Amino acid sequence: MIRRSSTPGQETLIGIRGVRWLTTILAIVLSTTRPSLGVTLVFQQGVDGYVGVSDTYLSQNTPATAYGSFVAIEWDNDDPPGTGLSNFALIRFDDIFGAGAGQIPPGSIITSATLTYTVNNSGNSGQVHEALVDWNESTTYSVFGTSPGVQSSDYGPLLAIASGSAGAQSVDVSASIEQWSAAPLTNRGWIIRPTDFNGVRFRSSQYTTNLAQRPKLTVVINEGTVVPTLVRQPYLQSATPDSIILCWRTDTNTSSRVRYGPAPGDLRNTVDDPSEVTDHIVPLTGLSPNTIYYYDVGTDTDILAGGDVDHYFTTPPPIGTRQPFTAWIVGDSGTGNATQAAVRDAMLALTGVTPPDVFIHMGDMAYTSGTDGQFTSNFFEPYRTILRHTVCWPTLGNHEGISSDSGTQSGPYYDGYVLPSGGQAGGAVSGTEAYYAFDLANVHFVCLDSHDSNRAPGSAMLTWLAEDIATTEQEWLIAFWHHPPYTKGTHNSDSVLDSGGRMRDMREDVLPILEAGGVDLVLAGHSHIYERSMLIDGAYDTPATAPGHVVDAGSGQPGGAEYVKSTRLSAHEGTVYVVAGHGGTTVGGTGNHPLMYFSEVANGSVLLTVDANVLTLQNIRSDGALTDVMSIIKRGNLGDFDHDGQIDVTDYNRFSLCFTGPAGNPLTTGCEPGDFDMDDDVDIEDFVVFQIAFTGL
Amino acid sequence: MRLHHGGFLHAGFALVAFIAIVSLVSAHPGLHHDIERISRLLEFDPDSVPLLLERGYLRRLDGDAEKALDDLQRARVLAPSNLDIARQLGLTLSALRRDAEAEKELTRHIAGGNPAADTLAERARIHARNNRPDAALIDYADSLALFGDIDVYLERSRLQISLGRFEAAAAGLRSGLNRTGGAVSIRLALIRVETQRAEYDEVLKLIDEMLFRQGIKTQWLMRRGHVLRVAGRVRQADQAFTEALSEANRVLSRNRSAIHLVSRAKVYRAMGRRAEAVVDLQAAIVRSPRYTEAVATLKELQAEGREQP
Repeated sequence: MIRRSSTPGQETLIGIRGVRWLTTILAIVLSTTRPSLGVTLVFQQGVDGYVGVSDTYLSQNTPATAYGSFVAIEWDNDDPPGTGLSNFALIRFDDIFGAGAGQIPPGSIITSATLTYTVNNSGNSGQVHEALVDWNESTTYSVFGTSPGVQSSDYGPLLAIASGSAGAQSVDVSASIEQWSAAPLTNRGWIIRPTDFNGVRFRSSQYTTNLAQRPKLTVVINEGTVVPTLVRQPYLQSATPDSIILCWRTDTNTSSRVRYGPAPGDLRNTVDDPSEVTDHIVPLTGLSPNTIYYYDVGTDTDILAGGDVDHYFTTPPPIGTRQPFTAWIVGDSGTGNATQAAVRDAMLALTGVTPPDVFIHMGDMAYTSGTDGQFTSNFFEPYRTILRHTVCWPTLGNHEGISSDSGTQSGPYYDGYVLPSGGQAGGAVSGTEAYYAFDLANVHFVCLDSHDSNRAPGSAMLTWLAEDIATTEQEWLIAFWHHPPYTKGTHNSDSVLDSGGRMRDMREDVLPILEAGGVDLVLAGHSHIYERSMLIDGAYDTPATAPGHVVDAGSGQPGGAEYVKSTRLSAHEGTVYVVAGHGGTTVGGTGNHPLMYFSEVANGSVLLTVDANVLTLQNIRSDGALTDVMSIIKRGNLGDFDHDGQIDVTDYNRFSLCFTGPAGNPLTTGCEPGDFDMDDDVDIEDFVVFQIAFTGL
Repeated sequence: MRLHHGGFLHAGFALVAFIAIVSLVSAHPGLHHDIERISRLLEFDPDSVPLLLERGYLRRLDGDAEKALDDLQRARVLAPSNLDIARQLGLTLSALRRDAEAEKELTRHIAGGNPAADTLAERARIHARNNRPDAALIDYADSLALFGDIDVYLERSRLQISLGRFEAAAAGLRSGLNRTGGAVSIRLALIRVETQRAEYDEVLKLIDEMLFRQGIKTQWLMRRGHVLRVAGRVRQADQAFTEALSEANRVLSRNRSAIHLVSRAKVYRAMGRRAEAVVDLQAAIVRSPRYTEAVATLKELQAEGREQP
């Protein structure tokens, strides 16, 4: 995640028009926390007495001609046609800063600034830069800057793209106004450079037919102290037994403060970060494991959210602890529509006052292109009441992959999440947020990037994976990524053309590593369906077939049909594969994959519970029905009552309770592990064997 | 040159159509549906360069480079000087192994003054495929200067090793290790290079840093033993293997799974205790008959046994 330092304007303004040359709008800024006061200033030549606009263009074809008196300004890189000669537009608004009426006062916080212009002859877009040299309306191409023509030293970095489409167009120039507000003498306006041969002409400040079509600069400011608003409510990242990261986004750059403590009214600890940012990332360290903390977030002067019973987090237990936990598994949910909400609400109705401990997202959380705005509206907003107390662990979906890049770890996905690339949450150091691991209680989780990272044997990701699972001492191994190795939903995993072959790659190249490492459960999304396999192993071929690969063809349902595996991680004893791509979008497909025990073409999500040696998975349909339940039990050797893989004093105590002596009484519940000779009695013969197992002699 | 077309009416119609189509298809999100959505928009605005560019990009992401190329070539005709098109064309042509054309496009994009890390890395791959290693190394370096992609570090080191430039490979990997906070895939590559350079103390440092971390250490202790053995430090190597055996036993006392039996078998094998290794492997196969690594290792040991008198 990269800290954002821009200032996106988010306020909605409702106001009345002023009466002097300035247009001043006193506005109520709609805030998610509390109202604050905003002011809108509009600068347009001849409107309300403002006369500070200079605009012209520079023509390479007529280098000695000044166009400051023309009614239109243009950019073009082929004028006259076929010559490849360029025109460059120039525009500046003078006298906009100062203490006078209608000016931008010193020290104002610029919420937004927009340049609006009216295109009367459409064409290719232009590139907007700040001009770095002085000019006026008499300036020509020949005398612009220190040497003739437009040189790269005459303008600053690319600021924005100016649309060449017909009609009123606008460009965000907030960064320029912010900068010039601090140093007004550096305001030399903007130059618009052409990008292609189809030129653009727009109305200038000399245009008289309709004054409203003259260029206009609209600046929204906050005078003095303002309360920023939350664009993204607080959410939790990268929890470990002794640390967690709190994130939120504000509409303006502010400092960061988190206060936390044992009760909403006792937030005794404070962490401050004076950096002025909009994306706030505050790590809390030195926490106690398995402990509930309440918190609030804000700036060094204002509390923006929290300080109540709804804003809390619980640190995970120490790694390896056999403490039960629940994970909510959701995939392909980011539509922002009613289906997504129904899936969410069905889970909340089922879990009631005991929400899941973690939220694992299978990707495609921000349709349709994973843009920053889509993340806010389709992920952070719909799940805001969950994200404030439940840590989310995501994987990149193909829709996030449109706007985000794993190679450079850039884009809205990587901006939004803070993931443990350094092995901070357990496991090997991946060196990237694209794939990572974390430990939770007695489970090792592995997240892979099936969309945008190299999936080939010998790649960085697969090398890391093999190392990671070779060093874990956890009892369970669960892996998740976006593209499922087995599916017949809205995607077909047997088609090598489907999804660029990613499903085949994961099946053929990744599953052998995972199954050799004893993976118990693999979760995926992408295909808009719910599918759950039998207990299977070694089905790497394309097309995938069942014969020879089904370890247990039963239902896996609790109450006697559970899939049984050895304690801890054991190679090739079988894995359950789940496709949970039914979290919020239209479902489909045949669901007839030969390795699947259960398939359902209906929206929903999955609740996963791990309690010591028992893993249970439930499919919660969006109407609230539980349509599939599956369990895996890890049974230890005889004598290992608590199935922790070792025969120790805990087992000795349990054995003692079951031991009946020579008289022989019927077995009581839970004494089966002590019955070595299987005579339905834990007696002296069993005691002799148990003693050997216990002492290791 | 000014190309006059529909103006407001055209744009307005396209906008209405866009909204209508997005509403229709947004119930079916999926890359192929996005491609269909753009295709419908292109029916209304067939000369839209942004739409052609986006569809070409999505088609390449979806694995259909041939169709992506069609879109991008059409966009090229409409906007010959657009550098984003050059970038996408270069990446697509490279995916199709049309190296000469790809290189030309990528070079055009890079020469535009705002190169991207992936563009430079792709041109490096083309250079490498076409036996121009020095040019490839320059592009790899430029790409890594922009962003430290782990796979690019590994690719560059493989090329340097193939040229016998072990020192440069080691320096590059070390830089990558620092930059990525210790990515294990780079660490392993660096261990191999430093071993080839006989920089054994450096290798041992790289291994010992991992031994401080939590988790099962058998594999890292084994690596330590092998390096010490290669270095001719026999006593220390034996000590490392003994520690590896101790660690393997510790793990097996908690979990007698096939995975850990195979791990101990490897330690036994490294220590020359073939019979004990065979017993562990046989036990592993009893527990996990599908464990191909156990089966393969057992076969190797049995073959070694037959070869030796």
